[in-house]
Amino acid sequence: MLSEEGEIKKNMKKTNLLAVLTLAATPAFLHAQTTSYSEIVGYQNTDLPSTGYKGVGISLLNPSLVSGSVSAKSSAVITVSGASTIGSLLQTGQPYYVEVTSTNSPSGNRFDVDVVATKVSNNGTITLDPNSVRNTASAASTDLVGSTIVLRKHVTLDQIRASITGTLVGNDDSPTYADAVYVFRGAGFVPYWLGADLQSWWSNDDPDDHRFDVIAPGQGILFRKRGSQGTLVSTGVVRNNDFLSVLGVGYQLNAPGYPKGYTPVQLGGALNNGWNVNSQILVYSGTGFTINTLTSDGTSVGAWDNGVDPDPVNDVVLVGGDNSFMTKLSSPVVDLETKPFSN
Amino acid sequence: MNPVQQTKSLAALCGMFVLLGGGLSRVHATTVALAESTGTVEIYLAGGTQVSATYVVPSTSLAIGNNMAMRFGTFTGGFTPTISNASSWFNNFVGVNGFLTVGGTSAGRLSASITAGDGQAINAPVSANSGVGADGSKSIVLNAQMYAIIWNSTFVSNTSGGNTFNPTATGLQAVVVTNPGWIMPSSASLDLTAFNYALSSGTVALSGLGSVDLVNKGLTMAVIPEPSTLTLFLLGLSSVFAVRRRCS
Repeated sequence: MLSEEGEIKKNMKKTNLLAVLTLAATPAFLHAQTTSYSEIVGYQNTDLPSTGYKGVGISLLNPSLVSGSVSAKSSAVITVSGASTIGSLLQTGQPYYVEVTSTNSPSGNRFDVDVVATKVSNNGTITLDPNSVRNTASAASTDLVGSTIVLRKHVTLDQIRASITGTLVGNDDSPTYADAVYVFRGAGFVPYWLGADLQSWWSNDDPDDHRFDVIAPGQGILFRKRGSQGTLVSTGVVRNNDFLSVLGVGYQLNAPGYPKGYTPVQLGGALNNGWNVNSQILVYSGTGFTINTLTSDGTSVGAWDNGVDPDPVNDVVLVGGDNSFMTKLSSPVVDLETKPFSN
Repeated sequence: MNPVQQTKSLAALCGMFVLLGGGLSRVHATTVALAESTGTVEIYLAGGTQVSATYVVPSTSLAIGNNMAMRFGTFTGGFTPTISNASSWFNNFVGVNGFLTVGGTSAGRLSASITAGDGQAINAPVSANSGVGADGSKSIVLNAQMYAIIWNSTFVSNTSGGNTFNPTATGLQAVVVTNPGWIMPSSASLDLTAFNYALSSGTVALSGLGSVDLVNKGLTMAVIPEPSTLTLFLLGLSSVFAVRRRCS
């Protein structure tokens, strides 16, 4: 049996996701931190075919801007021990979030940052946005004192655009004629498409430019490339803490927390983990979704049935670290995935 | 490991169907979008204020500018829109809010999009004078005739925090337009098919307030049909459906 670290490396090799793996000390001047650590950096190449859709899950993160322990918290304002002028690290109009990295509760939780307020303060504090729908817990009431956190920039549509090699295709009228990112929201898939200037991102929701809209950690997308095939070269940092995923009722399009392959059980799909019988994991195969259903076999985990194989697929890798996957649940599940390697 | 897994077929085409020479096709769709065809449709509301993809930029001094608004959806309960019942249009309508695009080469175009899923449930529904989603989940039944309500003023907030739409009372100008091809298709949550309707030559103005004309490259359509005209239109729709059923 492989160690967890060995397993992730095996999966990385198997899926050819992390072509470069280095240990890099993050620049000291970017950090106002009390705890020093090295971040694992690398990149993933995801082919984007010229026809059809491609499931994409971005598990690599933007570099940390601040990391340290929370020494105080007042409402949604946290004080990072030893930090100063945090606001100067943030760019107006860009989205940022804080993730709890310590293993004690509330480990793995993520909170969006009120950039304007943090820049105004420009001291050792970070003002969280208590109203963000992406928060995994209440920014106002969650006790963060004593926890260690990391501040990062969100992945945005603009970043995805800049990460694509190949010829971009834009159009101001319709996603039918442009490179497009599809997210799942409410009843179905909603497109955002690249504008004719190859910078803007349009939506059917409103007339706004969505280039700085967030593809949040754990949020999957489908990419529709037009014209010619391309490659999404995602560069970033491997998460160095447990990953929290919040799965809602009904369909939800998700992304893995780490650049490794996942079996359905490794995605948290088990009866003893809050998943109900008939829960589903769906993976886009290029022409449609492959459906895997959790059944009861008398065990505490349950048996995953892909509708084809006579044997359960509990140990079959269904999702790569750069792929997205859908869940369909009848009740919500909050899952904390233990970091699959050791420092 | 056997990688073969059950595949759910998507985008089941319902077959090509030509309506009134417009070349419209029916597909199994998740997203139904309505958009003004670039540079082909000009809409005049009350006094000739013009919206056109060719030159209107909402930030200019053109009166209609940002005040142009649209809803795309369907009337419920057999409601028939007329001038006299204009104040009840929204109360008998389920759909989504559209908008006037402000950026890129399509600035000034009207656009609305409905994303529907299982049970024909739609994203971000609006009905009556409520805000988006305020009425909870809504759905649009399969094959419902779709309409666009277009008016030249923004909502007026009412005392309860909602929005008021009463063209008769407020003196707004508004029009209801539709097209025989604007039919709510079957939808499913995992369906990625999109279907684009056009606010173009096939568009029919059912009812309106003020001097409302739709102009499409010289084609001017009357906006205020008498009841008999409306009846003929609905009969026409019925015959279209009958033809389609025979074809399928």
